[in-house]
Amino acid sequence: MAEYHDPSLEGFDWAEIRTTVRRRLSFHLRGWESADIEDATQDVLLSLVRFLERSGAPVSMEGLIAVVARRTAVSRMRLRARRPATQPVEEEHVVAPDDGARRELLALEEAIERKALAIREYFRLHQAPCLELAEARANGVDFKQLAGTTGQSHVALLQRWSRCMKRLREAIGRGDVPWDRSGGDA
Amino acid sequence: MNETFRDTHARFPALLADDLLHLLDVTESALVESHARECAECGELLARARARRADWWEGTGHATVRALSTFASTPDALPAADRDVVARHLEHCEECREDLRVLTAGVASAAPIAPADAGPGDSGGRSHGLVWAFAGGLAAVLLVFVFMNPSRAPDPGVAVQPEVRQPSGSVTPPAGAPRTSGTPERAPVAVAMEPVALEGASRGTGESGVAASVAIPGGAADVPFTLPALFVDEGTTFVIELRDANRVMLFRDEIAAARALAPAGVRIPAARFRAGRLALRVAWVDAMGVAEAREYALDVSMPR
Repeated sequence: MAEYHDPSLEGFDWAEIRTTVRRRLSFHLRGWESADIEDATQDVLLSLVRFLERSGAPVSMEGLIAVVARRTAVSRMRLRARRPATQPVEEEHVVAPDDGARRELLALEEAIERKALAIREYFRLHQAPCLELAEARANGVDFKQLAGTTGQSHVALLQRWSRCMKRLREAIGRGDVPWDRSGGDA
Repeated sequence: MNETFRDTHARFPALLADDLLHLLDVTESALVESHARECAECGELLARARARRADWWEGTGHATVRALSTFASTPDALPAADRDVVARHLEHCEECREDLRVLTAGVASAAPIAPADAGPGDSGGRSHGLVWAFAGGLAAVLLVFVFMNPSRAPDPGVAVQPEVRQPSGSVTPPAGAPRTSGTPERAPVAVAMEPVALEGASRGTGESGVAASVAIPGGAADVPFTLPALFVDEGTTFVIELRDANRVMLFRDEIAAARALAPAGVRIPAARFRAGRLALRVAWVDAMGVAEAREYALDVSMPR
């Protein structure tokens, strides 16, 4: 981590932080290859660097590490569960993006998380039927599966989702949903 | 490089985020595609994003770590609309409340700011109030937990035996469930079941979600469950409870985290189940002595 010279990153023992992150990820991702743990560790460290650069020192560095590591582990497990069997995890390492590319992707992930939360809470307030669909999608439940468990037709659910998206676009247009259009790293 | 290109380039990350959530109309989506073809940098970001995830909705809907942290420490630094979104979300999301607690562990035990000191429009006071209210709630849950398990509270620093313990003798068996007494005359042929994955099942209260479907074939000895990733420390003991719709306990057990979080790590005797909607509660006390719990809805069927 010595390549970062932002003052907000000084005063932290990054070797110690890396050890803590790796230990936490090794626990959350038990049974995973060490290369996969290392890859996830790099994502956590970059997320921490991004946080410190933009927000400064956290209230509790230990707490920040714990939360970022847990969330990264959950995300990795979800990605692995969805990965087609024909695309092994190791493939990522062959074309491992550099840190700059990873940081861009992490920034994109954060922007999407921020927007998805705004959508979810807008639906919670104004469009309860849409909230059910948004939560199903967030939980990895596709509409075909949801149709099977709720007794509704798949087509009806797709149509409802389409209407939800239309209303959402209108709400964003009216400024009813906090939305970043600038592309800036807000 | 013309003005349109520069403008689209500057807005590309925001446009791409919208595109990956399928929020753009046809024209805007075409703009993203055409710019990605013209601009190598943006084209690479688009390709990486699509390679990373097939569905960017999945796993979303929670407050970002930075938003939670800012909300807890300097809420006025968040735009008012974002602050309201986070506050509303915390009312419903147990997971984010737990993350907030971990992020602010130092704050919660420091300055004794009573919620009553804050004015009605004081968002800083509101957030501190929320932290204190949450801490109080956790303390209450912990007390209940300790009273329910006087002899089994995990001893910090002492390794917990990984084997699955027998259910507590105080468990109320389901009405009509077969009771075992003595050695059976003939050993039944056990039918193995695929583990039931709880990832995606509804959690907690107030979240509309989907119940995990549990079809128990005749002859199954036990029902294996795979828990979703949960933030716990080594040495944590999970308390597993199965309850019916009337909250009557059908089964209770304690399992070490290393075992419980393994695939098919939670196993419940099939005889303890009954058809219909049941709730599987997973509770634990972590190494810091904080009690937590998740609850999953199960739709149980017993095809003959």
